[in-house]
Amino acid sequence: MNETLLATAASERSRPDALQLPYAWVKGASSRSRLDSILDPAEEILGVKNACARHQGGFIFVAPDIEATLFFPKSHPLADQPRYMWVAHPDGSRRGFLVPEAQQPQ
Amino acid sequence: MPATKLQLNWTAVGFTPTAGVLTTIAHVQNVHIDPGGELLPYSGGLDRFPTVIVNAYNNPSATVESGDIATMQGFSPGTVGIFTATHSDAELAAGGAIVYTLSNAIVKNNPSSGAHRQYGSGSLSFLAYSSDGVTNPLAFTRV
Repeated sequence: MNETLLATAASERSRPDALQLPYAWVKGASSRSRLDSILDPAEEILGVKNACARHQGGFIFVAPDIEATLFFPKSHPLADQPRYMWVAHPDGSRRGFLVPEAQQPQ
Repeated sequence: MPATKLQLNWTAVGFTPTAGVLTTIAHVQNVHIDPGGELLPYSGGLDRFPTVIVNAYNNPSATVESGDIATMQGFSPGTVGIFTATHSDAELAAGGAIVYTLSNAIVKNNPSSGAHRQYGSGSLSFLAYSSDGVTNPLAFTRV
């Protein structure tokens, strides 16, 4: 699909499927409070409970599914291609919308 | 009661083999979670010190130490699954625990030992691979 059309379609959806958050969002003195500072706003944006966060080196990847990956798995025909269309948001996050191929069962 | 900002003791430590069911490990004495960050220094010419150091690779791992030898020996090296462990809040306050999840975890080893007049103990160690080579298999969640 045309990437411009895909980005437009993605931005019209209310809820993203995943987030890339900057480390600047991490606040707090304890491990749990630092985790809360990421997951509290992320779960609200995603509209889910119990999202999971991963340190990616440069950003934090937050998704509702523990099996979620940034790219298609090495075993997939679309290996090394991104599973999300990323849209920059004014709050500093990047909001990810699953590409059509990623919305199908793998 | 507010969270204490201190973690104490582990609960819900277990391993779910692919296409299998969750097996909980009892008598947990220690869980070691290692993001496995590695640095690659660069130097050349007349350099006597690295001029560039980057983190270009990570090799996450986890190790459980427990008296539950039988359960840990039930997973042979090479078994793939999901390892999970919950680090509780020191005063069991609601909203204080941290859940570690290591996806694509592969059992590395499961040695055991027991000294004279001591409880026997063992360990279960894991490495983990990334399905796409980019996504970190180590994730943090909450209960």
